[in-house]
Amino acid sequence: MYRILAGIFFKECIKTRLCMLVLTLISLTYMAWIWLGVHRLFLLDHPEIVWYRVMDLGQIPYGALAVLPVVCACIFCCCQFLPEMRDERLRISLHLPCGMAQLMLAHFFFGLLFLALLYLLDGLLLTLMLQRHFPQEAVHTAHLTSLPWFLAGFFAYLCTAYAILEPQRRSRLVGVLLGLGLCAPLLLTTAPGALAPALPWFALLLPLLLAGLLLPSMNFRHRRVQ
Amino acid sequence: MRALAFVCLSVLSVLVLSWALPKLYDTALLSPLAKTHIFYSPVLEQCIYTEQIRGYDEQAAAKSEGHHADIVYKDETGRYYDRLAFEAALPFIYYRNMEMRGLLPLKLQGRTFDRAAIEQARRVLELPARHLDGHHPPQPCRPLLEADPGQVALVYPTDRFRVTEQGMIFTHADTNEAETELSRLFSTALAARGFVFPARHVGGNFSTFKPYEGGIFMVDARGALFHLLRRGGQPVINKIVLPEGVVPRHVLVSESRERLWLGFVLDSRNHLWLIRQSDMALIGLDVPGYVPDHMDCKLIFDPLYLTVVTSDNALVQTTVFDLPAAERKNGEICRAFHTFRHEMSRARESWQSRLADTLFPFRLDFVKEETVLLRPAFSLSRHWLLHAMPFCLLLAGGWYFVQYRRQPGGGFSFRQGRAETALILLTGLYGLITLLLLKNEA
Amino acid sequence: MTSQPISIEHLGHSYGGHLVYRDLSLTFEAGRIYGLLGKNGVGKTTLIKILMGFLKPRSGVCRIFGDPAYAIRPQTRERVGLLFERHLAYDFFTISQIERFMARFYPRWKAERFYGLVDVLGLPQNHRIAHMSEGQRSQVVLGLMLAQDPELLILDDYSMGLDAGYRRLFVDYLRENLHDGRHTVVLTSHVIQDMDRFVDEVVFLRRGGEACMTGLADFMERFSCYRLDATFAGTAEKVLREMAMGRQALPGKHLVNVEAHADFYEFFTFHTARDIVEDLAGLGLHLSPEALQESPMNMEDAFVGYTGRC
Repeated sequence: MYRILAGIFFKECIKTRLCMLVLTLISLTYMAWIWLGVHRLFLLDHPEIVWYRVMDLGQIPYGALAVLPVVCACIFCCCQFLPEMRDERLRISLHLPCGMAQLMLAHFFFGLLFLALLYLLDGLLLTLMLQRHFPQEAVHTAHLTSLPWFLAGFFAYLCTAYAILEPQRRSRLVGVLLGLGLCAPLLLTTAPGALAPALPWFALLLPLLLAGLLLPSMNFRHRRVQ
Repeated sequence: MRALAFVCLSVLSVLVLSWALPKLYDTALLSPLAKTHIFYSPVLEQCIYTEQIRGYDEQAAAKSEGHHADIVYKDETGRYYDRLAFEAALPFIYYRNMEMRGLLPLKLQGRTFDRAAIEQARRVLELPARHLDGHHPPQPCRPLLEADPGQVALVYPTDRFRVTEQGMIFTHADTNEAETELSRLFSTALAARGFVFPARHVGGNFSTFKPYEGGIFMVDARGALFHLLRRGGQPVINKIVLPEGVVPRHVLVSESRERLWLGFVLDSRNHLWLIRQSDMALIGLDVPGYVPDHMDCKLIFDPLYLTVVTSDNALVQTTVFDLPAAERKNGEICRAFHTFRHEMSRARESWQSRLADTLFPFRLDFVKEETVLLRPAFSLSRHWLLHAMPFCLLLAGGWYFVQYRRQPGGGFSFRQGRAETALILLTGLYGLITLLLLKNEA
Repeated sequence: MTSQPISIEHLGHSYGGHLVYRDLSLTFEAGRIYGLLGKNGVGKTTLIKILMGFLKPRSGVCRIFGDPAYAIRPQTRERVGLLFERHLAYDFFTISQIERFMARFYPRWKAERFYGLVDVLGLPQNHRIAHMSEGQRSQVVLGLMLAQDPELLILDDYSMGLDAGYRRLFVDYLRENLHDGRHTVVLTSHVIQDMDRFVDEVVFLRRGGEACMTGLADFMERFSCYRLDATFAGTAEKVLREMAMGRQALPGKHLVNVEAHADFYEFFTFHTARDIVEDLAGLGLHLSPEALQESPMNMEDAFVGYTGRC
C-alpha cells in the first residue's frame, strides 16, 4: 500500500500543486478578511458588548467561514479529477499493477489529506484570531461551530468525486443528492456549537462514503455494471 | 467489492432520503403548528385556550371574522368563542384591549382591578426545556452586573466570570486576561461562606434590560444554593436555606418591579420552588406530571392566580394556584385548585399526517423542540403496521415483479432480487429511490 | 505463465440493440504480432476496450494470461502494456517525472529503454509533456511502455496524429524491440501500409461480428484482385454495381468482394480467375479467364478488398 500511496501522492502532488497553492492563498486571504471583520467589531463597539453579542446572543462574526471548506473542496476535487476524465486519462492509472480499490482510495486519501491540512490551517487561524479577543469558552464554541463546516467540506469533496467519476448521468445524480443531503444539515444555521453532538455520527458516514465511492470507480472502469 | 460499495451507498442514500424527503414533505404539506395558548379565565373560572388547527372546523369558521378560520378559541368544556369573547374571558391578559373598550376597572371576586394593578401583578416566567443545562451548548462565561451602578440604567460589566475548580475567575474584556485581584476577592468570599468549587449551575438574568440587578444564584459542587450580588464591586453572598431533600438543578431569575418573587428553582426531583425575594424563602408548587427534560414550563402571574402551563409536543397541562400568601414558610408547598389537560391540535392527525405516515416508514431528524443541541434520531411511522408496512410491501412486490419481467429467463438473479426487495420492504420509498438511482442501465 | 496471452471465448457484445459480436472466439499466440483490422464501426475499439479491461462484455470472456480482462490481477497487469489512442499520457508531468511515477509500480522497470527513446527527441528532462507535439508524446508513451518490459502489448491506433516520419520511427522501434518472439503485440491503426513492415498475423473484423485470423504473408499470397474492364460487363453491369454496393449477394462461393469503378470492376478472391469466371456465369456473364487481369495489391489494397470500401 505504501508503494501505491507514494506513487499516487507523487502524481497528485504534481497535478494539483498549482490548485493547492491557489486554494491556500484563497483561504489565507479569506481568513484575513474574516479577521478584519472580527477586528472591526472591536473598533466599533466596546469589547464587553462584542462579547455579549457573540457569547450571549449567539452572533457568529466568523460566519463567512461556513462556505469556505465546501467551496475549496469542490474546486480541489475538480482540479484533481477533471484532468483524469479528459480523454479518460484515469485509465492510465487504472492499468497500473495494483488493486483498483487501493489505487482509488489513494487518490481520495490524497484529497482528504490536503483538505485536512487546509482546514487545519483555517482552524488554526480562526483560533489565533479569536484567542486574541475572546475568552476560551468562545474559542471552544467557535471550534464546535466550525467543525461541521469542515466536515461538510470532506463530504463535498467525496460527493463531487462521485459525480465526476460516475459515467452514467442518472447515477451521477446520486453524488449530487448525497452531497446536498450530507452537507445541508451541517451547514444549517443553528445555535453556535449546537451540532456538536451529531458530529461523531456524521464522521461515521465518511468511511461509508469512501467505501461507496468504489462503485462509481468500478462503473468508470468497466462502463457496464454486473 | 462492488456489493460492499453498493451496500455502503445504499445505506447513505437511505439515511439522506429519510431526512430529506419527510422534511420536504413537511415543508410542502405539513408545516408545524404552534403550541396551544392556554390560560385560566378568572371570569369563566375554567381554562380557555386558542390554537391553530389544520383543516376546517365549521364552528370555528362560524366564529371567525371572515378570516383566520384556522384559529380556534375554546374553553375546557369544548364551547367555542369568538375573539372578542375570548379576550373578555381573559381580562388580565388583554387588559389594554379591555381599557380601550372601556371595560376597566374590572370587578372580580369582590375586588376592583385597574390597569396599574393588573400591570403590577402580571408576570410571565418561562422555562423551556431547551434552556436547561445539557439542552444547549454550554456557555459558562457570564457577566455579573453591578447592583449599584450609580445611575438609573444598569451598566454592562467589562468583565465576565466562570466558576471553575480554582474559584470564580473574572476575565477583563479589554485585555482578555484574568483579573487576579477581583477573582481572588470573590473566590475567597464564596469559599468563606462554604461554597465548594466548581459550580454545578449558575442561574441569572444576564441582561441590562431590567429594572434592577437581582444577583445570580449558584449551585456549588455539593448542591448547596448561593445567592451572589455584586454591590460596589464587592461580593454580597447569601447561602439559601434549602428545604430538606431539595437539590437545585436550575434557577430562573427575573427581576420585577413588585419585588415579590425573584424567580424560581427547579430541583432534581422536578419540583418547582418560587424564590421569595424578601427572605429568599422557597415556596413549592405542586405541578403533577411535569418532566422538565421534555416539557416547556410557563408561570403566569395575574392579580388573582398563578397558572403553571406545562407542555410537551402533544399535551398541554394547566395547573392553577391561588397566589401564594406572603406568610408562607420556607419549604411550604402550594396545592393547585384546578388542573386541565388538553391534547394540542398539532398532535392530532390529518390526511397530510396520515399520508406522511404511509409514505415514510421512518424518518431521521436532528431537531427536537426540547433541546437546542442537534442529534440524529429515528422515529417510526405512527402507523407503521397499518399504513407504512403495506405500502412498503406494495413497493417491494412491484419492484420484484418489474425486475423479473425485465430480465426474463436466466438474466434475473434471484439472490439480488431478494436483497433489493428486502431493502425496499425495510425502507420503502427511500430504498426504491436508492435502487432507481444506483442500479445502472445495462 | 503457460496461459495464452489473449484468448477470446464466445464473446458477445452489443450496444443498445446494435450487435457488435456474436460468439466470437479467437486465440492469440505468444510471440506473434497481430494487426486488428476492420472498417469503422465493426467493433475494433470495442474489442480493444474489452481486451484492456475497460469494458465488460455481455457474454463470453476475454482472458489475458488466463485472467478475465475486466478482472485482471495486478501481477498479470505488470505483464501487459497498453497504449491508449492518441498516445494518452499524464501531460502535467515532465519527462523525468513521468518516468519516476511509472517506475514505482513496475519491478522490472528498465529506465534505459525509456531514456533511449526519449533522448532521440533532444528535449530536456524537465520538458513538460503538455508542451510536446503528438509525435514527441508518442515516443514518450512508447518509451514508458517498453520500459515496463511487458510480455503483451496492446496498441490502440498508434498512428493517430503522427506524421509519416514519427510513424516510421514508431514502427521501427516496435519492430526492433518487439519482433523477438518474446513479445505478443495486438495493434490497430488507420494506416494499414505500415503494418506489413511489422505484423505477423491479421485479424479481420467484419460487420455482424465475423472475424478471420490469418497469417499476413499467407493472406497476401492467397488473396488476389482481378480486374474486369467495364466493356466486358454487358448486361450484367447493373447486377455487378448492386453487388458492389452490397445490395445483392455475391454469386457462387469463390468471391469475397466486388468493387465497381467507372471503367472497371474489381473481384477479390482467395481462388483463381477461372473460379471467378465460373461464379459470374451464374449471373449470365460468360467470360473467358483472360478477360480478368490480376492486379497487384499492397496491404491497404488487400484490406480494402477484403473488407469492402463502404
